[in-house]
Amino acid sequence: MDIKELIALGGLFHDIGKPVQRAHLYSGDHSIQGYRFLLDLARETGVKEYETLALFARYHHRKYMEEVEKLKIPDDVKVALYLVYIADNISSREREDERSGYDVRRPLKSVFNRDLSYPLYQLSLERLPIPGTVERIGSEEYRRIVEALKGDMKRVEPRTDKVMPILEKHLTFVSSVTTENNVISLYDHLKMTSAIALALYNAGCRPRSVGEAEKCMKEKNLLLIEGDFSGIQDFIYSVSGKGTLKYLRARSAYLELIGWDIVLKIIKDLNLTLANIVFNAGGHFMIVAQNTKDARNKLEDIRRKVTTWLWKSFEGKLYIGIDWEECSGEELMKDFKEVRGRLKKKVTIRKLKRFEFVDGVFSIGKAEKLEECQICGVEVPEEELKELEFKDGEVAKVCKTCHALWFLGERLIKMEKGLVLTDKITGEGIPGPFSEFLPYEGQLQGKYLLLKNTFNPPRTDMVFVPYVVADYYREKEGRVINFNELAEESMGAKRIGVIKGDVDKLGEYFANRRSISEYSTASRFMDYFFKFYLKGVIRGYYSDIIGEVPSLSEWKENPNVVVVYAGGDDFFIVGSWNEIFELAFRIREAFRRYTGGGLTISMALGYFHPKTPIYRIADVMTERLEKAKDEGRDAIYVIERTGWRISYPWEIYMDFWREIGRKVYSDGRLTEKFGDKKGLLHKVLELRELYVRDPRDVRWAYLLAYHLSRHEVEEVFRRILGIDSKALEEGKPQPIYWVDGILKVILMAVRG
Amino acid sequence: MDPFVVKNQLRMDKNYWSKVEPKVKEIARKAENFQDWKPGEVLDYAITIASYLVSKDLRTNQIRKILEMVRNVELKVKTGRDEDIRDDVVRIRLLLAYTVGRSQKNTKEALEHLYMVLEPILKKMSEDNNFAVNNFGKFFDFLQAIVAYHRFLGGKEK
Ligand SMILES: [Zn+2]
Repeated sequence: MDIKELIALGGLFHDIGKPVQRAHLYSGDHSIQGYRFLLDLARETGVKEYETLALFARYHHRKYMEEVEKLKIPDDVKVALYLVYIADNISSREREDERSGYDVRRPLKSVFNRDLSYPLYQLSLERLPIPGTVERIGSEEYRRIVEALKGDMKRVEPRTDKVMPILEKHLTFVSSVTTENNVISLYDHLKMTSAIALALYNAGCRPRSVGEAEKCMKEKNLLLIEGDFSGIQDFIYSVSGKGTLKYLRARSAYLELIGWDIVLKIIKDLNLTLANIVFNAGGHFMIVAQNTKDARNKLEDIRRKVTTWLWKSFEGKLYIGIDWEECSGEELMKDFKEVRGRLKKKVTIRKLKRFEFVDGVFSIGKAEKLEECQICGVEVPEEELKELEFKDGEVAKVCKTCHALWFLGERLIKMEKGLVLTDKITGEGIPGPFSEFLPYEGQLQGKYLLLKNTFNPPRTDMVFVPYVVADYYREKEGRVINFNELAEESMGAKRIGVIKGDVDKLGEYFANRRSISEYSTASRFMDYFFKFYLKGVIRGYYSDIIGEVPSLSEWKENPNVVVVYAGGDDFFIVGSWNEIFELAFRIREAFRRYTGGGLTISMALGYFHPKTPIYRIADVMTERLEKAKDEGRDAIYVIERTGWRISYPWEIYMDFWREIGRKVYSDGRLTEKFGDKKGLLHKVLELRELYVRDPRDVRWAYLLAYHLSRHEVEEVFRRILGIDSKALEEGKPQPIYWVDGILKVILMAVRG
Repeated sequence: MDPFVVKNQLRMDKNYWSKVEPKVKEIARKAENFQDWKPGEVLDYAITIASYLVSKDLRTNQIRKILEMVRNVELKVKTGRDEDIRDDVVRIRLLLAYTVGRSQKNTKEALEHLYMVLEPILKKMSEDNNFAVNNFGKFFDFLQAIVAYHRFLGGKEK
């Protein structure tokens, strides 16, 4: 085994003894138990490498390190042991609050809410992980996890790309240390230890003693690399004319793949492993690497190539800021906030400078005649345009990217398995900055295999990258449903619905993560909500967790919904308007429980005629989401309305829906009492307008009382009938102010 | 004031009027300063008076003529013709007094209390046109609110 691979794997396995010890499988401390576990694995699988890897479990604590010198093993293995030792040692220092002592039964606390903790289970789509009041985890539960882990380990060869997903699947909810308030998942601790140990080795560190290892950790041997796309919205949505739904989906998938291509290129050129990717989600990535001249040169080169490629392909619509900051291992753990703060500033400046490396950005007047791509609007030399024939017989001239995306769009969405990234330019795939992307159906060969939504490594020589994606779409006649059909399938007003949403104050949240491991846990948990569990929410899973939400129709297992984009901390989903309406609340409730109330989310809803241009929809949605954010966040923009606040705080809307909405409307129609009272509902809206126009006027109050009692439905509207004097004193709106968002939605659902 | 609570109490207590009677008298005393009533107070007083009238089983058709006359004057004020409405107000006062006078025994007491509240306001209006023009809209609202809550609290028309 290559020494670098050994170091990477050594980092990944060094603390395997923790769950083993908590399962009481052997005796002794976790070093001894991890050692025995890996030796048994070597014996049971016949894979010799596990005997060497067992040494990393055995020797990574100070008290055992003195013995390393005397071991009869190759020198480079000793170096590897010292490197993993120091990487772990530093990441152990991040652990807070050791005063509380250790208790092996303590669960993992939630990185979103430190008062709540997770039960122990595997990572899986079927179960939405909800932090709660778990007191302790028993050895029996650990035993189940360790046995399942071992079973999976036996099926794969010892390679970082294959071992990582298995560890992730089983150790995500295992606490890295059993002190009182630990929020770092053991998986992230293992991954970061592996990343740092390898980066130190690549930096030239060859420690032969604990003292030398400590020196490695204090010197500026590491680079924290960050990349962040801008112009994502423009890139995906500013397509004209024939921008169908499946094409939008293809563009957003394409963006994700460009990100992977860049990240994987960095990893490969810098001799790192997938463990060094702290995260890659939502057009944003972070990598831990070595700080050497060679590495920095390679990064410069990659940055230049990427920037040029983006410029040439998308004319500056899409840009990525990539930068790096040198630091010591110690800083990465103890002063991560500061290092990351410095790096973030650099990336921001880089994004402002944009295309400074691109040669000829300002050289105008090329000889050849340029023409616009009729889909994305990029200008290319006339002869590079390709003809694209639509179903309706119309022919458009488009650029080669649009051409490829158009034909692969459907395959990209419907692919069962995943994608291959290959160096070979076949012309059949979609071009990326460094590779070509081809849908994988089981035969292709390439460098990387991105398999969708699985942690089970396939049998392949290609490097396996789990490709988690919220790929839900409603199928119609074997293809992706289109805008017209979504509108047709909707209730009442035939409209498509759109939700756009993102997590509130996320930048602030991440800026406050204390160590890189904590950052890793937090970003992974966040990303998985949108890539993994969101799909479950759409499918109607977790209903016991979500509870009752505002609803216009029964939730189906295959709702009329298409996820255009979801990942990182945001999403954009279209569908039949009534289903999109309900989905917003389902997502919010799932998110609230998922984060234990530690973070909030804001969303905007929009309802459009199916012929509305995509870029127009995207603009409206952006505006609305900004509105909800400006108005205090933790809010939903439900519908256009008058008054001093347009969006609803979630709880207010749900309250009003419970109290009024569902008494007016249920089971897909107006309730019996209101069957013939649409006029009255309009009257209530009118009286609300009266209130909004002059809040000091009180006529609305008695007129409302009068009309409602004439129709004998005053009980239903009890909440909005009286004057709330407390609200009046506090300068808050009267309850009637909130009723329109409920009634307008209901009236839309029963529109003939 | 929560009109639902009042409605409930009315339903439970046949002699509800006796409990609100002192409150109506208090409102009558405050009518002197009608111009100072805040919007919330206008509503609260309207609910109190309406509950009294319902408890006394007053039907709104018994004051229909008064309501019509008030509405006409309100229209006149609203259309902005800067006129003297003192005479109109005097006519309302007379009609109100006449209605109380000819009423039957069982509703007489109800109308008397309504009179107690409205009369001081109308009196002030008939003496000061400026005051009348500036406050008639509010007076109209007040009376409408009484009728609206009368209905809400279960009062009958005929
Ligand atoms: Zn194009």
